[in-house]
Amino acid sequence: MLGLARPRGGRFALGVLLGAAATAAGVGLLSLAAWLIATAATHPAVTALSVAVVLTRALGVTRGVARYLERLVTHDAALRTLADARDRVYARLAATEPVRRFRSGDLVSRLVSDTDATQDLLVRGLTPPLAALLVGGGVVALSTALLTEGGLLLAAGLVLAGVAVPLLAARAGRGPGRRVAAARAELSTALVDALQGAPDLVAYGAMDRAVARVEAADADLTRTARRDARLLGLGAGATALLAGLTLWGSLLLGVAAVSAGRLGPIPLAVLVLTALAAFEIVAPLPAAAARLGAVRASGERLFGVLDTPPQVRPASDEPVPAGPADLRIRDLTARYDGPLVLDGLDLDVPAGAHVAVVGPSGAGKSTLAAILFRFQEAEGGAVRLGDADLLHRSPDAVRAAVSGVPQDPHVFDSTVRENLRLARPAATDDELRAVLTRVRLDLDLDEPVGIRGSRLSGGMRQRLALARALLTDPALLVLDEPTAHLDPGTRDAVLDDLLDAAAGRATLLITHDLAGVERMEHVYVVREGTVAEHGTPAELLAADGWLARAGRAPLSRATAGR
Amino acid sequence: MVDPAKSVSPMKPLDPRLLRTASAVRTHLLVATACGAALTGLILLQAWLVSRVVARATGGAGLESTVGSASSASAELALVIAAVAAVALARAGLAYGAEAAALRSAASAKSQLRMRLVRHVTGGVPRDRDAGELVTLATRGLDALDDYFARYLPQLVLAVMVPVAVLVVIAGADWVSAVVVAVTVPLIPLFMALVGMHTQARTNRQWALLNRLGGHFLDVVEGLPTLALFRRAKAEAALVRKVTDQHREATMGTLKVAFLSAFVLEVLATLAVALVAVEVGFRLLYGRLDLETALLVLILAPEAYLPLREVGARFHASMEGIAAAQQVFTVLDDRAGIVPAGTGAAPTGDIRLHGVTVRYPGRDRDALHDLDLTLPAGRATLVTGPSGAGKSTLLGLLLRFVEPTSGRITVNADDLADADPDRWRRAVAWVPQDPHLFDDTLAGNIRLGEPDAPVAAVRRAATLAELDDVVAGLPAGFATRLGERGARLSAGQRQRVALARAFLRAERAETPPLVLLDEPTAHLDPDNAAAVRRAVGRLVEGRTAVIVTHDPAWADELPADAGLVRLEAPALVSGGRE
Repeated sequence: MLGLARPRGGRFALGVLLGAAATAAGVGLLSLAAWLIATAATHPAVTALSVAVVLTRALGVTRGVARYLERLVTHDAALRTLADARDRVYARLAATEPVRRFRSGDLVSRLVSDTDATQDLLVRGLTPPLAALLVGGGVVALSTALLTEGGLLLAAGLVLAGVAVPLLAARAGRGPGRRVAAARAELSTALVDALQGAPDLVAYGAMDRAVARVEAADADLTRTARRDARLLGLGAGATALLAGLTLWGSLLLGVAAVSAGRLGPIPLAVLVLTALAAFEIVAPLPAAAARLGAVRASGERLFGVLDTPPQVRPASDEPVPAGPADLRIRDLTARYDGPLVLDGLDLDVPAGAHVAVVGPSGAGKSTLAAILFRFQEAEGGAVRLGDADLLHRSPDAVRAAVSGVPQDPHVFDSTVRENLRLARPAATDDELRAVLTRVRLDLDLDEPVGIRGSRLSGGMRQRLALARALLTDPALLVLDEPTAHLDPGTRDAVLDDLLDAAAGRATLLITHDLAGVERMEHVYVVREGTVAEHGTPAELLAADGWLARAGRAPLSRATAGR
Repeated sequence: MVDPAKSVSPMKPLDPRLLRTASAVRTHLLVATACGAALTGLILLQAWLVSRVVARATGGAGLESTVGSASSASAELALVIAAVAAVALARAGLAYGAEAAALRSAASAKSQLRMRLVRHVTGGVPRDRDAGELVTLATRGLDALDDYFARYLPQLVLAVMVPVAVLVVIAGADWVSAVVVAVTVPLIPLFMALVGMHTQARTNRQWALLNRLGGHFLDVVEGLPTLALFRRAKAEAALVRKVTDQHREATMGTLKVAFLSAFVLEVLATLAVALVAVEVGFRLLYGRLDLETALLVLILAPEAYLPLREVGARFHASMEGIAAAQQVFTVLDDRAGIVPAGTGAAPTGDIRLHGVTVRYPGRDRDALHDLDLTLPAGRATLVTGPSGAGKSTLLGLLLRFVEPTSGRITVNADDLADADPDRWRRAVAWVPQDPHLFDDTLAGNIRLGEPDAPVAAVRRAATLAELDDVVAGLPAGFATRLGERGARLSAGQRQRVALARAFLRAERAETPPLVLLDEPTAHLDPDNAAAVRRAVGRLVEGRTAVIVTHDPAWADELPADAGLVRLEAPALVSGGRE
């Protein structure tokens, strides 16, 4: 992760210097003031003090100014590095397309927050230790010059308080952290059950028991946290002890040196007050150490993503011819890590035909969509669109001819226009309005759609996604579970409109329920990675196959009866 | 992450509601005050001891000095140095004790707030809430209070005590320095407030922009598959760079102003110490002050500003916790849904709705309008209609989750509102559209409403609900834990577990049960849908039942005497069997 910061090394170095200057001004102020006072006590001429007086006042201002500049410089450098990190992460994702990861929204948001953790590392974890090292070295050098043993004592105190205590405290905190995390997981589960399951619990009179379970989990978590408080207070105590004992040791050594005649009264005052002020240097380090573990975990996850190989092999950029063409899939096999997900699939979508792929969950339907979109590499077989072999063309070449609505299509936090123009950047407003009409979507082009399209209903999002796909004018349109999250009332209307809009275009509808199947020209039932039966909807319903049995579901008959 | 700009302005350093709600907070405040007082005393003592040692030692009295008259002075010096060690030990012990005590109080206070929150939101009828957000608030949100309790509050106590104590001591030693400190210390909170108010307005203006720019990367990464599909993924990389750069510039613009308050604080505090040092130096030079006093003033002067600086630095860290506490209070203040209900016995018989209208708070349209409906005892009624026709509201009424805004419901001439909701629900077997399964065993999930049901009854309910093949496929059968939200099972299997729940309740109810089903086969694949359909047929046979669905074809699955009702938003349009 530090490697990411290297191009911004100059800015970080400046930040470290400014931070060191600020801390040094704070400590130096007290050392200088000690010299000033101890010297004044010997009643010298006023001129002997004039330089120190000016310096003291200067240090008083330096510290605030240097601190302010340091914060600006390091934040700027960290934000620049963050921009680099985002750049790299995005470029890598765009090159490898680990689309399966994207099934879980949680993984994606964690990836983004892991990227953002680089900024935290740089601002809080990198510059404070380096600045502390610089100033600490200087202060120890000064003290050693005054009194060797005093300087060594201060060095020992600073190293213990600045390195050993933070690291040990961070390590001691790991055990409690784990215990609390386990107790909190239990509490979360109990809470999820009590809050999300509230209707079920109230209806079945079981809410009291659920609350009692939350209470027990909460009591357990509280007990654990209270017990571990003893361990977590140790860091604060140890730092205070080291500061106090170092001061005590400086007094002891200093006074002994004075009485032995090895140290003058003025250096004694400087030595002791420097030791008193020096622990300000290490104050920010415990927070930096506590963060290290979390930042390291972020880094590992981040580079785990960056190191994944591309999902598909490099292939020819030769364009797939545009215009109507037949899709022919022969003996297609595919797998992820385990057994075959597709095992010898044969399927045809003649130009202009509407074909459905149905079957139970886990039959390999979505893998088929991923292969057609070139998100996923096939293991064997052939996928031909007209004369072009899609398995040996680059993703971008294939996607010029094959488009559609993937599972959970993303709607960007922008306007309707921007979301549509994604598919065809040169499209005019009239073209955009025309495609909206085709999918029966009555939206203003300037309308903002909200984060993940939150201002639109589920049905509207699907219509928008289809409008986007139609704009690319593909030879083959693939609809992967386009009604999966819609409520039953809107599902049929959306599907009807989608199929109307796709009229005359080769369309492959992938669905796990049977909505819309009766409107298709040909239906393939896929089970365990291969075609179990196929034919027209009427043929399949008449035969004694899966579709016929499944077709007895009220849902499909309702639509079939139209 | 809590957005600081939104949470700053209404925030008080010490929320009185927090004190009222959590008794642990009051204890904590007492402990923190006591620790603060002790620590203040130790700071003063240490300064006095150190200045004394340095002054005496330079006056000629060393440790090893054995010259007659000096020996008592040297003994005193040794004693004073030993006292410094004692103070060091005491300060360390106090620092440890205060932190540990603060974390312990934090744990207790969080627990008190959490349980108040949980009791509040689980009391009354279930409402449409963002459960995920509440769970986050009750766990990670409240955990942010650790910083508030352990780091911020004790520092706040010190920020009040230490400057005052230091000022009193300095005033006794050297009044000119006391004036410098007395003038500058109050300036710090004043300036910080002024700068804070100014930056607040600016930050608030900037916040929307920062938020949008900051969210862009997440939006683009989440949408990467979509971008890839439209061959825009690589083109978007330039935009990522551009927006991130804009974000940096906007952030830096905000930070330049936001860091000003810390700047003012640092400059004032350090400059004041420098002024005190110079002033004391000159008075010493002219013999108006002795070295010991001068050193005492010099050592104490920075201590007056240190707690103020710390409290400023920690305010931001504790803000998230305060924001979480405020969110808890907002939820606690919302008392909708907690309504007085009847206490009578549960009536049985025909259920009649008389001109029932339901309008949810904050809506401009009735969810149900003037509905008259009879649900005959012992017979099934199929309720169909498009989305928004009020089908779910009807089930809510029968579950007593919703009360009529006007009109009334009677059961065999008794008013349903007079019955105790819990007793009424004891004879209701409900299968929701998306049933919630609990992180418990399969048997425990089926027993939800009947925790004392014998194993045989659970088995029978499972068989009736077409669950036998599911049970056979689980490693420990009925004793298998289903995981969070029943993650181990598919949607169709979860639906059948909910049906088993309903069978168990219906079979064991003391009075004839009311069966309520909400879109029983929505989202199911055909195999599961067929199984659910068979089980539903069994469940409604001979019982008072309401099946809500958008799909009129369900009529063929039901007994011949079933009624058919079609709801059109927002009122009953047609009734009777076609």
